[in-house]
Amino acid sequence: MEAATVTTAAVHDLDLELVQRHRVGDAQAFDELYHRFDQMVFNLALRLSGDSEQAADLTQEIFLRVFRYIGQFRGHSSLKTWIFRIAVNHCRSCLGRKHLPMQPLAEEQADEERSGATIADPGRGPEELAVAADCGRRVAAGLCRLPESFRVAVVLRDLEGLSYEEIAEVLGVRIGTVRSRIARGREQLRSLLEGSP
Amino acid sequence: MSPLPSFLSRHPRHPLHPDAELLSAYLDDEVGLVEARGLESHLQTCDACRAQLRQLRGVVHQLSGLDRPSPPPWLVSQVRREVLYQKKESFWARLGSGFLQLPLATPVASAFSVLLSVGCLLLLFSAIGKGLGSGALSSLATYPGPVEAPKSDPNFVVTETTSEVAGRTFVRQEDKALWDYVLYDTAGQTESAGRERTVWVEQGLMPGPAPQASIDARSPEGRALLARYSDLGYLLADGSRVVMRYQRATLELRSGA
Repeated sequence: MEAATVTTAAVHDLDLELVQRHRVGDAQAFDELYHRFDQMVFNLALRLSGDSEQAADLTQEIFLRVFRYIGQFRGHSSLKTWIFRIAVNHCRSCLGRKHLPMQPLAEEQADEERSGATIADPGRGPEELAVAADCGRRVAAGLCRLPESFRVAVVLRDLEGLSYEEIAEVLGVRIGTVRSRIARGREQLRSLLEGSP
Repeated sequence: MSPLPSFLSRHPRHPLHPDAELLSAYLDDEVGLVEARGLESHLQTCDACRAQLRQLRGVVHQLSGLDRPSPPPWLVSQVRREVLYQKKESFWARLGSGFLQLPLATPVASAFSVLLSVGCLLLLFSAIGKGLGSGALSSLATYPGPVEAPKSDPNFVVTETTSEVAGRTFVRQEDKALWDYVLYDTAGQTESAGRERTVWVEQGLMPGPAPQASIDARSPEGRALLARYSDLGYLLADGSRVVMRYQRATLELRSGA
């Protein structure tokens, strides 16, 4: 527990230092900040939009917002949850207008890479990889069919590995609500996967 | 008979079994010690709940096994450029708002600033007239424009040229469609008028699918775009096309010439 507290404090100091360096115009701080969070932001956008091109556009817009408002970051939360909050709000406002995608579960994805639906494991043979890819496709498609609030909670927990407390901070809801959304999202996904061929 | 643990008696539909919410939180290690112990002792005797927990664990495993792709490598340079552009904009905005806060509203200060501006202009004109004037103005009058390869040279190669307009960098490229047409034409010993035409592609855009929209610069949309990025007019002036990113789409702007 003590080690975890020390690690959290160290990350927090690193966050503040990085932000401070960016404020004073350190060009390297931009690269560090971008590369520390780019995959996290891109994957969130990818899972919420279901399309890699749209996810790239959303990622760009999210980082522009991050750099525009970084002066307002006071370190009350971790930089990671602060960025996630911006990312989730931006994806919601952009995708909400067009409704989040609801793909039919049984529908074949024309291009699995487009939605990043493969399950990565380089140690497997071609047959196993094909099965895993099919499974990944079904899971990603199932995820796209979840209601938006459940999907965000499940993605933040099971794909991004945030704790319930962090998710509550990102979404601005209580921990009980997070617990309920994750459970209902997983339960719905389980039923969807059971019902799919 | 001992009373039921509180978490088991809360659910009227299945009074003896924990609900999915508790099982899900248990998987994430997000339940209290007492709840966890109670649930574990229940799971030891209940096949249905064990099966449900197993299924739920399978879903979590599948989700956490999904690939986590990296963003496209060109994105970093695009974000960096936009952030720099944003910084420049905010600098000028700050400067502008700071200037407006100066006590220019008072009549005396306004009159003084007008006199100062007129004086500066007079000084500038007299300097041009005396020393720099004749040479600089005459050289501007004979400025030949961009250096271009002679049309008669069959080995003429377009070298990479970049142009920075509207805070973006554009790379000059051959217009493939026109180039093919010219080759066919020159076989018939005809020189095409459109030979120098180029396409200016915004730096960072990867060669990929065709632009999602093609806009004539004279159309209302084209005029609105040019009003926003007026410098683009320089690139379109010789009939070239411009391919750029705008509002999360790749679009082509034609001069319409």
